[in-house]
Amino acid sequence: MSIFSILRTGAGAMQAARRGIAVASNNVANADTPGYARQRLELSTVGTMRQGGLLLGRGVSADSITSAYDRFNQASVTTRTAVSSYSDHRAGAYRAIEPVFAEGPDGRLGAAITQFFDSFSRLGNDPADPSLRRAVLGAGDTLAAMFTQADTALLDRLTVADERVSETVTQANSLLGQLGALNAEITSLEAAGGEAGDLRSQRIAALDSLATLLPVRSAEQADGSMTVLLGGHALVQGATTRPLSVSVDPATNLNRVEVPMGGGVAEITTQITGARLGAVLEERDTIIPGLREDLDALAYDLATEVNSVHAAGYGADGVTGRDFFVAPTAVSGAAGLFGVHASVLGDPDAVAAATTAGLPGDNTGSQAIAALADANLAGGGTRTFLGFYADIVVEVGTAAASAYTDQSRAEVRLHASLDIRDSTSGVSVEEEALDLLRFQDAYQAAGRVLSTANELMDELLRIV
Amino acid sequence: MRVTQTQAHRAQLLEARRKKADAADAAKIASSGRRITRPSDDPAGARRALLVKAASEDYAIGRSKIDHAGAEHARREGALDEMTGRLTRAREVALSMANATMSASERSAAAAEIVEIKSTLVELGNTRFLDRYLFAGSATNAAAFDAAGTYQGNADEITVVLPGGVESPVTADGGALLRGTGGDQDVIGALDGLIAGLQGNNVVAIRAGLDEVAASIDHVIETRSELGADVGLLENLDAIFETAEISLEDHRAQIEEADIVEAYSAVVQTRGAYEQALQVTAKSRTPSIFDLL
Repeated sequence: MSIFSILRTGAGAMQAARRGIAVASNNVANADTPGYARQRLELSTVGTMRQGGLLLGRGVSADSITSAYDRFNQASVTTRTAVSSYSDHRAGAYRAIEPVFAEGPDGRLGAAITQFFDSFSRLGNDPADPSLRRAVLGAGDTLAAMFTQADTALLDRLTVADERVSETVTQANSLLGQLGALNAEITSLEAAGGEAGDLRSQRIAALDSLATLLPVRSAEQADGSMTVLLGGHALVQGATTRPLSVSVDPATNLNRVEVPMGGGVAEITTQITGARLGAVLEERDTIIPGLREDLDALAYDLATEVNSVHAAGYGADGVTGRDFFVAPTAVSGAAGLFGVHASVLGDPDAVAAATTAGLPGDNTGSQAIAALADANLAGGGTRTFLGFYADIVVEVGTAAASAYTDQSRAEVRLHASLDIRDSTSGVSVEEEALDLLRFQDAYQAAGRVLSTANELMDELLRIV
Repeated sequence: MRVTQTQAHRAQLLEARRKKADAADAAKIASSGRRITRPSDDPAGARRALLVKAASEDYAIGRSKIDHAGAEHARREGALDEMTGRLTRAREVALSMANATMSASERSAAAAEIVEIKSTLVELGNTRFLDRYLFAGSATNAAAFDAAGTYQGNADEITVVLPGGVESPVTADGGALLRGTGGDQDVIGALDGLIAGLQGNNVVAIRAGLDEVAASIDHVIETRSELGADVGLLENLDAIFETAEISLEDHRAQIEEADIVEAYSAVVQTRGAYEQALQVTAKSRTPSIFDLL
């Protein structure tokens, strides 16, 4: 081995050490970067040469930089990210819905139902008393306000959820675009023999973000690209992306989610059941409509039954046949349209407390309406009005409590998956610090090799 | 297993966030005094509280109805008491005028007194409470009797329904009380007969009138006894309803309201746990290897 060979060996060693320091520095810099998988410099010997009877090594080569990425760990993180995001948004939906059904110290719809029938009961004391009649109208008005406010609050929430569908799809499409672009860069770079560790980490971060929005699966291909699937639909394949689209369903006036297929689009709204979009769709299409249907059924039954008795009675003005509430024409929408009938509103004498005309002391009508409170007239004749409403409250409370528990559990499971991924792919600052020291020592030692080889060269030239 | 800084930070963040949420929940319960502020706090409890509150209000309304009915009964009782007094005087007059020694002019003067007594009874039959005629059946907006004592009301008995389905009458049939409708004693008729006997100086008619007035007194007293029984029932019911209302209110409070001592204890405990979590987080930020190099 010539002096020049020793110089080459020393220079190679210095270069390898410098690269090692660069890799460790990059790891430290990206310790908190989402999706970053720590990188490692792969070293190997250059080879040997025979000199005389000796086999002499020719130094070190920095072959490649590998990434500590584990696709199985990543698949678990992707799945649990979607579940956690779904649970988060579902719990958030119930946090917004619960106040509609929370009675509180002043009471809401439940108290209004009780007070409405109580006002008719009190009217039985003295049906001719104008203050008691006004109290009945006031209680009816309050009941109407509670029904319409509850329905409006749910409808507002449904509108917000519908807007979130569009917003979520837009965000998802942006991430799909990023994934397609990253696929192209990674495959191109790796095909040319380059290292794409940082790009792969960016792709993982984008995938993690996408998993919060859509319940996707990923599969890495032989060429280094990542295919992203939503159900059976490939949204990203190599550099090609199939962005989702949103259009308004004319039947429901709500946004529907579509995927490109065969030159057109195919609706996949009901197929999306996980992640944020799944939670938003569930809130919009199942949770809120279910509660509105329950409120509508209660409002319809209550208005219909009260009207039936009231119309058979006589007001203080001797008039019969009046409805107390606006008669609902259908169950659907009954809560939102609930109101005191115009023929009664503002006219205490129109309240039908009697069942015989011209008898101001006759309270049989008002007592008959008061008695409706204890009759099983709601829920297909199975419960009282208040009992039916109380069951809605239980339904909301139970579902909400379950959603909060699910949220907590999903968060724990996601963290467990992230911990497992980080234990393989994450950056340990201590490890990188030791690597820096190691490569620093190696660099200094290689420098010593060069200076020794240089001295040998100087000595040789001096002799010559 | 390798533990990275990110893992450690995530675990600390999760723990601190949870402890903070627990502390916030405890503070909300302590400051509001309620353990159920939303259905998910206790779904079954929220349902029970709704139904218990409604039942408690039923009893409260029942008691207010009893108050109102009681006031009307007292007014009616007063009228019946006075009727008894006036009829007793009428019997005294009839008894003395039934004596064969009385002259026509004395009997004529006695007739004038009985006319006055009849007029008083008609007035008492038109007794009002607030603006309701109490002896007019359900025709409560008009006088039950005209000046001649003819009944103008109806036979309707208006009742109010109390919790448990008990009905309490709040009006009465003046016709049954004073005019003998439905086979009862015709009190006004009895006085009319006595007046005619006295004015006609007819001892036989006077004696017959005396018997009728005596029967009228018994009838009014009997009516008053029935009213007294109603009043007694209402008083008993009021006591029962009061007990029930208090019991239901206690039950509601147990369901909905927080035990203040427990609530404040929870605030202290959760706050302490949160501060402990923060201290652990702070202490776990030990110097990294870079600080030691």
